[in-house]
Amino acid sequence: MKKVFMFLMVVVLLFSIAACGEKTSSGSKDKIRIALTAPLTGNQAKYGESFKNTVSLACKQWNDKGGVLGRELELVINDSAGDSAQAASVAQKVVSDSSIFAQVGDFSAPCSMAAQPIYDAAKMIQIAPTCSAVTFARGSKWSFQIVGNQVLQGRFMAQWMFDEGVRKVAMLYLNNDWGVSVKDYVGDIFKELGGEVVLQEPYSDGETDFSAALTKARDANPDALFIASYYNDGAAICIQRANLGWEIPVYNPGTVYSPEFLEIGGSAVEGVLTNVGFFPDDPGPAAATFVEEYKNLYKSDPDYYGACAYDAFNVLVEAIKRAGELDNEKVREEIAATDYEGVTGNITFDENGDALKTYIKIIVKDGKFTAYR
Amino acid sequence: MERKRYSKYNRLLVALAALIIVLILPYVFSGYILQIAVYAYIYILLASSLNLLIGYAGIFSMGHVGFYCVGAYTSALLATKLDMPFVICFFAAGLLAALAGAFVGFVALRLNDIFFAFATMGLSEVIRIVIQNSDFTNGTLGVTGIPLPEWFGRSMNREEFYYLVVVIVVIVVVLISKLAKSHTGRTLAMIRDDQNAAASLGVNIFKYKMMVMVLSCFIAGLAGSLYATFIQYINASNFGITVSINIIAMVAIGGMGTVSGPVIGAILLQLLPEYIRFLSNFRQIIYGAAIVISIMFAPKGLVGIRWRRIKLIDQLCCLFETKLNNEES
Repeated sequence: MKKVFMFLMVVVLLFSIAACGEKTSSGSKDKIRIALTAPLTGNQAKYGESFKNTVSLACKQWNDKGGVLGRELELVINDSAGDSAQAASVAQKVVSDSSIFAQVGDFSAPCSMAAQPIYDAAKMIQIAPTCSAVTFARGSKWSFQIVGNQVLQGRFMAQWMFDEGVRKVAMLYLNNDWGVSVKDYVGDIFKELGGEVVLQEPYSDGETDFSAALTKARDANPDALFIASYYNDGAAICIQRANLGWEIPVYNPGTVYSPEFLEIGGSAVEGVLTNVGFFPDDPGPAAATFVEEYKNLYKSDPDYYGACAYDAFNVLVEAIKRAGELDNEKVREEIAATDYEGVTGNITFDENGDALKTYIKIIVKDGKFTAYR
Repeated sequence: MERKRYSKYNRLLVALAALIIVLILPYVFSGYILQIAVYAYIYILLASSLNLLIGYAGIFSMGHVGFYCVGAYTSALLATKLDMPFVICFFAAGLLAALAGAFVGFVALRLNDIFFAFATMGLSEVIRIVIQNSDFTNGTLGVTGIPLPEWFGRSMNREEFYYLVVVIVVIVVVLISKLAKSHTGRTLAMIRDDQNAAASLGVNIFKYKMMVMVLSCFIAGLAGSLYATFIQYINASNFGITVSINIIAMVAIGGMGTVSGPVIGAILLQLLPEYIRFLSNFRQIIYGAAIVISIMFAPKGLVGIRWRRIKLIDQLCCLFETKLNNEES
């Protein structure tokens, strides 16, 4: 019994600490509080860090201009660890805190979608900067995404390959929700255009030896290789391709657009073709200031995903500004009516809440991302 | 202070206190705490069912997540594709997971110790990968829009679902404690302690192991159904090997072969990461350190610690007991 008693004491203590924490955090009424949810730990921590940096920068810039509606903005940063169960708890935490007005995040589709029913029930605006899953934005009227959905991105890449004279493509893809849908959309549209997909080979997260898959792809004798991967696997695949001595045009979705891709890949990623909505070396006027301030603050180049998060925050705050008051219904309508020149290009939303984006073609040249042609 | 002092009255008091805390929780705390509490209760089911295997029967399974996954997907697919009511989804989840358990058990229970552990680990990954790659389960996109159960002609709210989970957990834990004390429970313990001795006494070892395997997987399937219904969106990536390891850690830290051990382990390990969330990256270190420390200093789990050996706790307990006894008299 004493053990049980001890345990009960501990439980009561733990719960009460949590309760205290919540009360103190919801104190300041004069600030507009916006939550950011990102994977600050775990496998996707790099992207989470990028989210945190860019959104903090955006928040700082607004506050330097005097905030919005005459009130200062405050960020509430939460870690979802890239795990959908944790993302749902974080979402509960956010909607339980009445001082938080809206939410930006999460990074991955499973996390964003696990949180979606909770934000939907609480009628809280959820802008997931990089959730490209087709089913996401249409899942709730309160959900928006910035990166553009996979149908649009897939069409862009497929069209590009076809225009370059590629008729037979081999595809390697990461076997997760994202990789599979990229493969499906790019592959389907490429076939529609009249091309042929000669191989679709999955690899699992954490795999490090791609030589078998690459040999298989080479034997299929394609005109180009399409790799649906994040930057780390993408670089590893390119290195092993170079080791095999296989010379072939390589196409990658925008996920490899990150300084680490060049760092890890070295000479092996030379000539890789990819796309971004935002490109620091060739920025529009909005992007130029963003890149400069980001470099000053964090001493590194911002990546595409961070830039999407930056835009997500700005789209939200602009909408609050236009709405003129903190009314979630009004702000939601304003977001839906957005026509905003962001750092990742012009942003408007379709009726589902998917951003309609334009993409820039880029190529790795002399160890750098360069505009293509 | 001798053990006699812990009368039935005291036990009842503690149980009552626990019940009150659990029952008033949704009213006192926010939805966030409720969310974590429901996760913790679901993990109680998982840890308790795994404890049936590891703690009572000595079968070291590393693939418990596979059956949890089967349960979650069964329930989710029945609810979204066929609009089945929750009761059917819930029991179907348990039954299908039990069926999967029977199959895995039939194949793998002939293996001993570490080989069984590896076999189950592999099979649970196979289950996950099959689900992830099959169109029927919506592949890597996962199942969205899983409804909360309906009653009285309307959808349950989260608080009501919380109480439903509480009721289910209490029933399962009580039944497990009854089982542990039963003839079957003692037979299982005998198999765990000395398989050869049990066999020489005419115990059909395979039959008992199969039975406990099926039962354990049934409970894991129920837990999966509750999880899917509560979170309303599932994805095969939720059911990786780390979940199995988490459940094993809960059983090990709480205390194997006890009823309260997995309950305590589940609550603690589910709450701990939430409390140290603000520590960001250091969280993993603290979590790991907690596991190492508890294994080093409390190999029998938290319930195996002799708290009274720690002086301060002993004094506190004495104080509390004298007070209680005074009130009693």
